[in-house]
Parts: sequence; structure tokens; C-alpha cells
Amino acid sequence: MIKKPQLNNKPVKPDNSNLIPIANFENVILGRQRVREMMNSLGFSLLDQTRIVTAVSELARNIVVHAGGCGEMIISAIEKNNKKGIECIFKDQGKGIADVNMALQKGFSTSNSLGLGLSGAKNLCQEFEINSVVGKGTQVTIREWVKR
Amino acid sequence: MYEEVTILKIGDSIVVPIQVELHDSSAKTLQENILQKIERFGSQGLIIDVSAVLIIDSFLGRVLIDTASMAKLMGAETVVVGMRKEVVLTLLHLGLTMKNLHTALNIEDGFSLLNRLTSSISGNLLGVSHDKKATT
Amino acid sequence: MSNINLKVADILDKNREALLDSWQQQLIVNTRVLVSEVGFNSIKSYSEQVLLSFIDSLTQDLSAEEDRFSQTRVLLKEFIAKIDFNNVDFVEVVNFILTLKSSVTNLLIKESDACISESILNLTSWFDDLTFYIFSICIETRESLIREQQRAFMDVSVPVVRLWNQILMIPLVGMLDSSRTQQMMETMLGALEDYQSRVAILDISGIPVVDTLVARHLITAASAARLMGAECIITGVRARISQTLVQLGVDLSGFITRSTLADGFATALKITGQQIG
Repeated sequence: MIKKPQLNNKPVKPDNSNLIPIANFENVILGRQRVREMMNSLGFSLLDQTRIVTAVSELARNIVVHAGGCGEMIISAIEKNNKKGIECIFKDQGKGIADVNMALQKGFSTSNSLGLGLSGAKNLCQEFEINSVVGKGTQVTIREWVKR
Repeated sequence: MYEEVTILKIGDSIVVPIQVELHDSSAKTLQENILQKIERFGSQGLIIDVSAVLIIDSFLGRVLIDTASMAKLMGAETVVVGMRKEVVLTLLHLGLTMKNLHTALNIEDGFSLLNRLTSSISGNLLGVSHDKKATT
Repeated sequence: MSNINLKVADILDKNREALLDSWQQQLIVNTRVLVSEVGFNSIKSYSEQVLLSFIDSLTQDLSAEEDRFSQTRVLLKEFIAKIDFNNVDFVEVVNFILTLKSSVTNLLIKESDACISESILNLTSWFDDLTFYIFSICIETRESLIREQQRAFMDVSVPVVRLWNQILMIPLVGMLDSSRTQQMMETMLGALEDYQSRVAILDISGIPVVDTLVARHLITAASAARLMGAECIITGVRARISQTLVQLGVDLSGFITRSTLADGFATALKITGQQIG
């Protein structure tokens, strides 16, 4: 697998550990652990943590499998209307998705998998946004708020 | 890099307590190793203890299902034991019901289920049934 | 403008005793249930306070956007908080302020001169304002009551019964929607984990209608129990329900189903290799 430097062609961002390049499966595990740590400190329940970390696993895997590991995830703690939450952005420079609605169908797969990755991830979190440009890449944003 | 997962041979069965966080390629490696052990020992039962597994996503879920089907082709029944409740609820959210997978609450129950599934009864099984309880 | 208000306030204050008397008479007639619910003495003291604060608010020199009746509102809210809406109708509560309106109007007509009749127009809008305020509080109170009941209902709606060693029973009652299913599954799985029970009985005797949606929730719950490693038995499948399920094409063949809880319990004992006695 060819690893490409991730940040060279991008505007320089403040360096923080919340940006994780996703080049291989080990990076996916690292991303999962970071999300779990942050959710834990924000006070999410164990069930919420499991749910979201599973979604993160699906989305980060997509970067490795479908975008050849050319991508990254950004984790941040967010706040709205006195509610705390977590936001994870998954960006890749892969070939993009031609038909997003089709890709969100349960059972749709281009890689001989179960086809639960994208649709499953969408089911697993409170907020899910996807933008994809063919030839440029895909960006998925998920958000989850602490329940009270 | 593959962190070795212990594969125990107990009587006619094989017990695999997964204690490390598996990623896609290490899960595949584990599958490979399990099947080789079944082949070498001619095992009739396979118990996979997932009580220490915090995340089962669609890939790992599929590896478990596939491993069970492959083991079955080689003449071994598979029981997945000790799945955490958060993992169960997440799998259902994902849309993965794992219908054809045998499950048990813990290793002890796993062995008695194996006993019922395989017609032959191994005397060794009873001796280890208290050996490993679910660990977290 | 404020001169007229002052004049009205003056008239009301001079005739306060008579006004209060006429109001309270009307209250007794028009809001009988309310009076008996809150108690006559309490009504008397509140009506007196409300009238005083009402007269007082007329004497204040305020700009248009300032709330003339802030003090009166506080009193009204306090008063309404004492009412149990299970017994008292909204209409009577609203009548509490409308009877004051009619008393004040009567008095002013009796004392009438040219500028007072002009002030009657103001009067109407003041009392409309207060009436709406009372209405909004009533509705708010009732809604918070409903919310509370809902929460209480959610809490008690999913009991998990340890029927026997290694056997749990979850009686499902009423509507099975997705949020209740989710909560029920969490409770059930927690109990299965805690007690290491090998069988979970889902009793649907208390579910009036089983449609595809309810059936899907049931299958999800049963799959959850199974994934944990417990056997799931669905009991309470009456004739009517089995007919619907087959007609809807719902496949429960992967799960053990029984028509009565007793049968289900017997099966559970067999699965766990236990006997009673």
C-alpha cells in the first residue's frame, strides 16, 4: 500500500492530535480509540460510545478500502444550545461516489462486503452528512449529542 | 503487525478468547489461524469468546459469520460467547442480526451448547467448563 | 391616558370593599368547583390580593412595552399552581378573572361619566390580556403534567421479572414503539448479563394489536436476546395474532413461540433442564 503525505497539498491547520491521517487499518484503530477517549470525557454512555465508535470504524475503513488510504479524520468536541457533542469529519481524496443515495442503500457494496458500512454508519448516529464529488473525493460528517 | 490471539485446544474443541482490538487484516489472520488449528486437530467445536471485544463492526461481524460457516464445512460447530450488551444493540442498529450464528452467555454455556450440537460427547469437556469465565 | 387610568384606579380603590364583595359573589356562583377545590378562604385572600395588585398596576406610569401586570401575573400563576386540573375545568379557572372583569365593568358603568366610558375600551384589552395569560398557564401546567406522566410511564413500562432460576420474563404492555423497544432491550440485555439467564420470555399478551412494525420490534428484541447467547421465547401469541402475523408475512420461525405464558414457562424449564418441585 502506498502511503502519501497527507497535509502537503493543504492549507496548514493548527497542529492538533485530533487530526488523524487514515492510511491503513492501524490508523483506523487509533481513530476509534481517540473517539472513545473523547466521548468518555464528554460523558457519553457506554452504549453511545459503542454505537459511535462502530460508525467511526465503518467510515474510516471506507477511506482505507475505497480511497486507498488517502484521507484523514478530524475529531472535535462541539457545543450547541448548552448541549455537548462530538463531531467527526472523514475526508478522502478517493474516486468519489457517483450515486450517493444508492451507496446509502442497505446491502449496496462495491467491495464484496456486506454493504452495511455506509448505511449502517448512518443508522448509528444522530446526525449524518455526506458530500461526494466524483474524481475529487468524499467527505462524511457525523455528530452525536450527549443525551440528558 | 499482528498481535497474537491465543488459541486453546481443549478436548475436541478449540477456544479463542479475543483479548486484543482487532483491525481488518488482523481479523483475517486470526480467521486463518483458527481454521488451520481446526484442520490440524480435527476439532469438532469452536468457541469464540468476545466478552473483551468492545467493537464489532460490519467487517468483524462478517469475519465471525464466515469463520463459523468455514468451520462448519470442516465439521466443526461454532459458538460465539459473551457478547456485550452494547455490542448487541449496535449490531442490530447496523442491521446485522447474525441469524445463523450459535451464541451462549459464557464459555460454560458455550460448551454445553456444543455438547448438544455435536452428537459425540467428549469426556474432556466437563473438566474445563469452569476454567474461563467471561473476562472484561 | 394615564390620567384616565388614575381616575379608574381611584374609583376602584374607593369602592374596593363593594367590588370585592360583588366579585366573590360571582365566584361562588360561576366557579363552584374551583372554590370547593381551593377552599373559600384561599379564594378570598387571593381575590383580594389580585384586586389590590390590579388597582396598583393602574397607577403606574409605564411605557407601552413595559408589562403593566407583572405583579398580577405572579399572583395568578401562584394561584393556578394550587389547582389540581384533574378536578377543575379550564373554563372555571378562566372565569376567575372574567368575573372580576364583569364586576369592575358594572361598577364603572354605575359611576359613569364621559371619560370613564372611554376607559372601558382599555378595560377590555387588559382583561383579555390577563385571560390569555391564565389560559397559557393552564395549558402549560397540563402539558408538563402529561410529560411527567409519560416519563413515569416509561420508567415503569419495562419491568423485567426473574421468573425462575435462569429464566427472565418481560411482560410487554400497550404500544411497542421504537423508543420503548430500545429501552426494553437495554433493560433486558442488562438483566441477562447480570443474572446470566439462559432464557428470556417476551410475553405479548398485553399488546392489543400486532402489525408489521410491532413484529419488527419483537424480532429485533428477540434477536438481541439471542445475540447475547440466551434463548428467546415469545408467549401470548393468541389465535388472532397468529392469523395477523401469517397474513402479514412476518416470519417468526427462528424463534420459539407459544400461545400461553404457562406453556412458554414449561418450555423454558425444559431448555434450562430444571423442574419445579
